[in-house]
Amino acid sequence: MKSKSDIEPVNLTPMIDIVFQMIIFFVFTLDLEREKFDKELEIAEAKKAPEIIEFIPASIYPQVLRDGTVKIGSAVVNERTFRGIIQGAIKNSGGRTDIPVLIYAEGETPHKHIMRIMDICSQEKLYDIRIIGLLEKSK
Amino acid sequence: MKKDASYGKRDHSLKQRMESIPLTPMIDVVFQLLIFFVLTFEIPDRLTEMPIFRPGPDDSEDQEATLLQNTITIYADPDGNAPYTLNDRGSISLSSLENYVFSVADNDPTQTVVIKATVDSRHKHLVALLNLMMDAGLENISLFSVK
Repeated sequence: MKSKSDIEPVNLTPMIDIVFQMIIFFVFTLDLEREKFDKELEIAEAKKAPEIIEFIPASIYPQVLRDGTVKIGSAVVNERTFRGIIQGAIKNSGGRTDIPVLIYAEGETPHKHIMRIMDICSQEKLYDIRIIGLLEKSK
Repeated sequence: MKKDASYGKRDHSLKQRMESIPLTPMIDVVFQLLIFFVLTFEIPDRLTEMPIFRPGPDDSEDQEATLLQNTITIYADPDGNAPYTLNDRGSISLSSLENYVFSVADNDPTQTVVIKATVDSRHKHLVALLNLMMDAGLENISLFSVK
């Protein structure tokens, strides 16, 4: 039987190497912009439109649910708050009004709810409005 | 020789100190990080974008008056009928619209096409139409909302 002193220490270096490689992979592939969209929403497909490769920083992403609820990230916002967010974004960008607004809405949403969002944007002089469609759902 | 021996002694004591650095807390933290990233990792959906021109509230009436041609209206379709009309001339399916949209784009992809969406129409029909226009290569799409 081997005594305690005969057991050789386990070499942890390869394991730590691999674990660090994995952490580096996850850190680099973490895309916080895409976390802004609720994956549970059933958005309409638009497979022939240009794909979003990279999100423009400082863009505004309102999510519109079929019942008219508007969300920014995971927070539900009312019209007043949404207007405040837009005004804040314009102020923070030094008065620029070319901030893109990307509307991420469920396919079954009545247009009147989208209209409310677009009206607020145009009232605040934001005219770069884009509608988001789904190219491919991740598995 | 004497120098070498003392160097070897120092090297040995450094090795001993290195061996005594406890790696367990670091490995603990690293594994916590790894578990967090593995559990929160998800492949994002691939998304597309369709830019539209939305007239301002002040100039919508003027623009609407000047843009009478190339107007596609989207209605609500409670009966499941084709929800589109072309230049207010009766219901038309999306596949029939395809020919029209491509012919417009072939003539001049920079000409403006107006979409009038009724307030009760479904967003998916707007997206389907915009998708078609993007495919055709139309660049100027104006979106009006109508009651």
